[in-house]
Amino acid sequence: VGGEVETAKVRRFEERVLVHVHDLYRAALRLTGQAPDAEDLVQETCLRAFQALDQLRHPGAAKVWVFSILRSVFLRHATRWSADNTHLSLEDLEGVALPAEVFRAMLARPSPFQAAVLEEIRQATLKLPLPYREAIILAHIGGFSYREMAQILEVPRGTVMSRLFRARRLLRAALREPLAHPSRVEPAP
Amino acid sequence: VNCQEFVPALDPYLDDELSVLEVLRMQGHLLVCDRCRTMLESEAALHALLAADAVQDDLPPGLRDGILDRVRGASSGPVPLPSARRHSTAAHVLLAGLALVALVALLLVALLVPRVWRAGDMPPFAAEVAAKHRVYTEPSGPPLDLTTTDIQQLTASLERRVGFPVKAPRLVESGQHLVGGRVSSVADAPAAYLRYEWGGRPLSLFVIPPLPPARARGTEQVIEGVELYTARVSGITLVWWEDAERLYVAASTGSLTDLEAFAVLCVRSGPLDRSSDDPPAAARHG
Repeated sequence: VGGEVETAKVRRFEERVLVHVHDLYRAALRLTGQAPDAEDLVQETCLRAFQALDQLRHPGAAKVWVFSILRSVFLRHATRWSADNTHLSLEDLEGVALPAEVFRAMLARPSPFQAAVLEEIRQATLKLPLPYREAIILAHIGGFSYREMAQILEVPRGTVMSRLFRARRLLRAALREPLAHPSRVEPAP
Repeated sequence: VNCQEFVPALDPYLDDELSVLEVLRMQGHLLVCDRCRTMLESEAALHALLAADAVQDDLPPGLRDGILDRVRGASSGPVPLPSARRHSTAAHVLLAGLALVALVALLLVALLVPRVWRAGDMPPFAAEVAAKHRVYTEPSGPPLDLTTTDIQQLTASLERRVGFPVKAPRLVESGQHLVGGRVSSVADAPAAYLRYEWGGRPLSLFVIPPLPPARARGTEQVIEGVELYTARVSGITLVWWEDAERLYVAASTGSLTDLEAFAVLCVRSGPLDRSSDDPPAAARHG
């Protein structure tokens, strides 16, 4: 009987947690900045989720739940898993807005250039201060609503909106002159 | 909504956090304000870049199975998690080789398959169509002009009102059927809107007069002689193509495969035979 119970638990784990492993890994990669660290983070997250699986009351909330565990595990080891200590600066960004034409021109280039742009946005994301990076990761990798993000980050919904807004401003600033001026990604004062 | 109200609502608009009424108000403002439309396009492009970046990384080979093995092991007792950093040198060499092969494969795939996750070809109408799909398929959204499963009746009605021919598929598979349609607009031009159910999800089809070539960039794949383009906006997949001097845009939260299958059916559907003796389906005007 015990074996059947454990088998059922593993099946529940697969259905509710492991289905999100791809998003977990992508999020972990942007939190840690290194593939081996991301693998470690995802493995530890999944094992903790399995151990606590009986606490998951609502299967529909499994993704929010497991991302909360991912964040908790990451923060516990934040000094070990630190993506980068060089952050984008929020200073002097008032009025930064990238004309749609510039984006279009960037994106209309041949694919090697697109790959470079995507690499640029990856690097800019990694250099975001953690609160902003978390918001971008949850919104664009997790696909969470503001309410769900507030739940994971344990902050009010308004704070989520504010962090997302600031994070995107920073990214716009970093992409304003892609490739030609890497110095736009500046260390925090 | 004025410009002062529009700007702070841009992020929630693109993040699907506004109510249907708020979305409609935002769209109303977009119709009269080029400056805000430009800002929206800029923000939508950034969202698209982030979305494209978000799906770049594949899962390392063996990670999923490794987790499952360890979880099964944990069922019978604690098992230490091996660190990914503790791979042997040989394993590193093997992984590096696999990574190189995967990278080459990814590059090939990126060149050969539809680039739904890449933002490079996002046309300006994408955000508008995605927003309208969401609004029209909300339970509290604006009603359809005609609710019917009869494609002939619907296309005839829409053609009369928009002033151009509308080609749309007659679905016969289980779980796929026409719901109805209405007159809409895209990029300030009249558009025919048809709603289907496909695999339990609403699927929207917009038929629009052709837009200037610069507004629909990026060749994707050719089906039945028609170039198919794809994009993804805020969780909504878009597929569009030109046929008989009309732009067709299909939108759904379903898979790209489903939308492509729908597009193929639409491309293959010939001019509708008005004299067909198909039994008329129940219809009501909304």
